[in-house]
Amino acid sequence: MIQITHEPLEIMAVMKALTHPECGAVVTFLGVARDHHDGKKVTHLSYEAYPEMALKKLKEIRSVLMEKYQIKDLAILHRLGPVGIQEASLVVVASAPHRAPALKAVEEVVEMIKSDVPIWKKEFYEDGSRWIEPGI
Amino acid sequence: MKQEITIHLFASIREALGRDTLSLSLENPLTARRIKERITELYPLVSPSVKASRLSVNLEFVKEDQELNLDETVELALIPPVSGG
Repeated sequence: MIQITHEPLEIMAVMKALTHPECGAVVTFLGVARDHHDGKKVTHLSYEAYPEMALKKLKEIRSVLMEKYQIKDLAILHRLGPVGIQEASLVVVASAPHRAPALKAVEEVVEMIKSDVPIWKKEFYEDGSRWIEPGI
Repeated sequence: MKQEITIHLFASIREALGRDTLSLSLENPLTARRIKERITELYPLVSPSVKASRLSVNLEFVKEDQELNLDETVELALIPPVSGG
């Protein structure tokens, strides 16, 4: 399951969909909007994507990592538009017969999203906002 | 020979320039590096973001100095450093 949406992410539904009879491990990661960054208070986030390329990259990531870790299933959902503090911007769920491959797959998904998927975060503060651009 | 290209813009660059796309006229051979240099010539204010950005051609990243053979159906985008997740 790969999804990019402006709607709130349906975490429980995704977890349920990823459970399979042969899977003893279902690993979930939530990327959640945090109320601070670099000592500043963050009021909310907003995400923008290059949708066609982001979907393509997410599908590739899913394919590569399912093969690499031989896991049963993998879901990646990313939210776009405004995201409030404590709301999920990213949901990654992996299921596998055993926990080690599922845990590793989830970790690697997050790293790959943060390096190669064309999605950008804008942080809002009480006195302004800025796009997060790692390395600048 | 000059080629007309249109580049999709995103995030900070899109916002700073107030537009979703940019059209340029550039001499061949075209590379990501030359396209970015042209954009920073035209819009020095976004130079740091442009320099740190990657170019995509038809939804794939291209290397800085790879010579690009572009037809009219090509989709180019300037991808600032990503911050999803």
